[in-house]
Amino acid sequence: MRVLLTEDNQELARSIKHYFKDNGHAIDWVDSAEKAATILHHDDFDVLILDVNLPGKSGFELLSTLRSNKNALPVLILTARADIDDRVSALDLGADDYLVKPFDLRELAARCRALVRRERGKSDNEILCGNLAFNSATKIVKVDGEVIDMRPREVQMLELFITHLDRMLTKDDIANRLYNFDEAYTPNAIEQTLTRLRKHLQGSSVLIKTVRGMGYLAHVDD
Amino acid sequence: MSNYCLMLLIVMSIFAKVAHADTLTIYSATDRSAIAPLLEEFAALYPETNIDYVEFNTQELYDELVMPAQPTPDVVISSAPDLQVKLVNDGYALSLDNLPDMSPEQPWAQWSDELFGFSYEPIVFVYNKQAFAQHDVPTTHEALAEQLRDRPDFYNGRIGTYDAANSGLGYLVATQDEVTFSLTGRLQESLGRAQADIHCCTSILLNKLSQGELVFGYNLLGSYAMARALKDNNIDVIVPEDYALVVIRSAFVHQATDNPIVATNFIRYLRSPAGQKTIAAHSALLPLDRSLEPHSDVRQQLTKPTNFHPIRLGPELLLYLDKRKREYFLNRWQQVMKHATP
Amino acid sequence: MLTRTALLMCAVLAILSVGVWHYANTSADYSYDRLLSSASVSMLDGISVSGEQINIDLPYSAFEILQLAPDDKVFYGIYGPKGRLLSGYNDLPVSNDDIVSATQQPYYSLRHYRQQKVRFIVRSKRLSERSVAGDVTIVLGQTTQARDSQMRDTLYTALTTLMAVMAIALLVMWIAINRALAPLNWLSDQLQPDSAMQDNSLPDTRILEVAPLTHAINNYRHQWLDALGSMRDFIADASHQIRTAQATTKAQLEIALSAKANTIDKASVEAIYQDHTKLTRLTNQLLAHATVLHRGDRKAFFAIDLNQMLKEVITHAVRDYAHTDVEFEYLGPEHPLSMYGDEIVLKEALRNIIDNAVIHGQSDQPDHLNLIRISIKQGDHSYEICIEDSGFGIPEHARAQALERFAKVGPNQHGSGLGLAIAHSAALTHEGQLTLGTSSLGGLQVSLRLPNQSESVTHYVEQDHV
Repeated sequence: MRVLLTEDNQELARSIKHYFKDNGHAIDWVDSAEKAATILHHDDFDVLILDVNLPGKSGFELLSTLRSNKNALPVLILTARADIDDRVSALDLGADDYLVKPFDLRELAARCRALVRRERGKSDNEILCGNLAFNSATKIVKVDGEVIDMRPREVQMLELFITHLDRMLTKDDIANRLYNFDEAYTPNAIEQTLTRLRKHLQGSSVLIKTVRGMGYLAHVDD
Repeated sequence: MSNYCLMLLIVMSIFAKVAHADTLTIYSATDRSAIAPLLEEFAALYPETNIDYVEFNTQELYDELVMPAQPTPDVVISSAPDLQVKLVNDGYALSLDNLPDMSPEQPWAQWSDELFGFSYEPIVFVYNKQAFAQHDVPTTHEALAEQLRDRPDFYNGRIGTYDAANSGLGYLVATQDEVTFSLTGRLQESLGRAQADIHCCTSILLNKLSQGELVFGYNLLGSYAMARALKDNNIDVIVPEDYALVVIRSAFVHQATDNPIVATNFIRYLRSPAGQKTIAAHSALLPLDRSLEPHSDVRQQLTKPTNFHPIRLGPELLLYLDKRKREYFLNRWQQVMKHATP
Repeated sequence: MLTRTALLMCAVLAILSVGVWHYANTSADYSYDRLLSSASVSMLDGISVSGEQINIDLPYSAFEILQLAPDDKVFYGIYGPKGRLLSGYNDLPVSNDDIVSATQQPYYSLRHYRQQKVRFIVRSKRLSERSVAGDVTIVLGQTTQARDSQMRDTLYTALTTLMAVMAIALLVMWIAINRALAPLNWLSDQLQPDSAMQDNSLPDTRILEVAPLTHAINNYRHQWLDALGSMRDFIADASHQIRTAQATTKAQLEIALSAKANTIDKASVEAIYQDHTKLTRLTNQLLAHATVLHRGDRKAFFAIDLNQMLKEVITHAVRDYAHTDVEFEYLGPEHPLSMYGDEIVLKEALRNIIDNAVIHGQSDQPDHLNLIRISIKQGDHSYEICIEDSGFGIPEHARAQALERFAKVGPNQHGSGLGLAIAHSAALTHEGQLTLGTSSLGGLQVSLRLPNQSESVTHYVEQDHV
């Protein structure tokens, strides 16, 4: 994962750099939006961590320039402002996620990975969720490198969850994806499939939470 | 400073002009002798002013002003109110808005800030005292009409009055009589039947009355008659008790005058208490101010509560000056008076 | 104001003056034209035919009528058929056209004649005898002295009346304005010497109209002072809490640094990290509380869907607590639940209640089901949102205290003591209520009742919050 960090606070930047390198990610650091724009011009990154409060051009300005140039680079906004409106406007301007300072470095890395994962899923066949790997072409699921043998319905359900991480899926959402119109199914069938899938996933980083009254949510805990 | 000097110069030059603007020309249809006391007093009050007094009869005066043969006068005085009104109406007079009315009770004594009356001259009866030694003198118009009917022989050819066709005053009085008194037609018929003697002028009638040629004069100008009666013991004057027309002698300043100030002063003097007092005490005229007792009114007839009927100075006097109206009136008058001996 | 009114009145006066001038002119013309008209009729009556002659015997009455304008000069001319002058002035400024146009109806005109303004009437009469046939025309003129003076009289009278009315109106207005403004002057006199910070009310006034205003000012001032007071308390509380936490961290750091060993004991760093995490949470919540209070003052309310909002909040919570054994349950309807409110404030409140439930819902028992149930019920005029946990709950006597800032109740000491305070403030901001109870799950039940303000926000009453 190749990360560009745009942050004007040296100490914080140094810590983030340190943490990301320790975890085996390539990270470059600039302290202004202008420099970030220059680097982005001739280099490719997997994700951009962007502070809002920067000397000179603000993070928002850089973000809106990127989006108006049709640059789809995943962007994670860091903000320290109390006003929650900042978060709203960041998402409106095309940010993919945001974090409010102070944050845990672990959380920051996880959010970055999630963004990269989502972006890769669109192009690569191989999707990595912590220690779980899923190949969307061959439909092969591996946990810690070992192939897990699953039924097609379970694989379909896993694929649905992996492509909708951290989002609430209702039973209807799942049924519509797993069954055709003419296929009869019982609500229990979904529950049973889910139970089996959970069993397969024990020991993996993928958690599937049930929220009664709402649905199901998959989360990668890495 | 220079402004004050200039002002002083202007004021001085005005005084100089007044001092040398000496001649006040008066064209007047009034006997010089009757008005002389007034002229003298005015001359005394304004010693630097010379008065040039020119006498006309009323019609001549009118003609002279309408078609001037002589220099323009400053002041015009006449006893013919109708002609005066006509002259003023036709624009011969100067408007004097700084001259107050005589009194609120006499609104008829001036017209339109231009024509100003200054005397009050009733139309009266005059009789020969000796002729009436045995008879009652008629003191009203009705009484006269009765006597003319009852004693035709006494009055026949011996009653005189103005010739309305030839005397301006006679015409005025005849027409006003017609307007004022409903029995005028009957009285005039009686006069015609009595072969009244008609003349142009007051003096001729007074002379004939004094000599006994006439016994009764009808509708004579009171001022001259009273002045004459004062000196002439043969005649006496009666102010008719039922009603008496009053002729207002009037004056105006000619609009082309060179001396508007002096001319205005003269008219103001005529109407002033001093002027009125002089009229009452010394002249042959009768004053407009009724509170004064004229010396010629020996029997105080003018201060009695008689029904005086002043002829208003106003545009209605133009009516009988209308050519056609005059012809029409005189035609009828002459019809009635055809037996009269002019 | 008075000056502007005066100017306006002058303008009105000017306009009215033109109208009055016109009226005066018309009425003077009207009355004196009638004199001319009747005099001319009367004069025409004197014209007759006898034989082959036209007889003219002008009646005295015609001149008596004209004499009603006593100072005015009179001019006339009488013309026979073919325009021959029969009598009167021969130089009248009247053309043949005028005479012709008068055959239908009398014709009036204002001319200059002998250096004077003269109003003329031209009137005709048809003679239809065998001997004489044709029109006899009379041209009668009168100068305009009386006419002008009546016009001036009317004008001056009307103008004087107008001006008097205007002056009175201005005076009345001046008095009225002074009287109307007097209470305000009294009020500003009362306010002048006071400091805005002083906590004394304005004296009662006997002026009836001002009483609501003084009341409002007093009310406003008290609210302001209350807000100021709560802000002061807040700052004091916050500094105390933050400084205490900072002191702890600092002390721990110093101990770690002063240790003789060259390497730092990982356990003590872990302790420092834990304390710092608490400090962070404290700071975040203080700021969140400040935001809630501040937004509560602003009352920027919009239409929101409570159902959708709750789902969003729960989804975030599920994600954030996915790695724990906390289970969530949501009992809500399928349809939207709309109300007017501040979404940010409500979200902050709910998230804090949920965080609170997560922290306090934990138990030491091994087979304990750690469930958080969120439910919403729609009442007649309100919504009730309940967040229940399966922890120990709060004993009844301590519940009121639990809503206060920095109150820590119960055995678990991990909380900052701000979560419920924030929710409480949010509830008050929306004129709602936060109540604590016992859940059927065994733990605490937090009920947030929000009035259903689906109308506009304008009828909102300012309300204290602390």
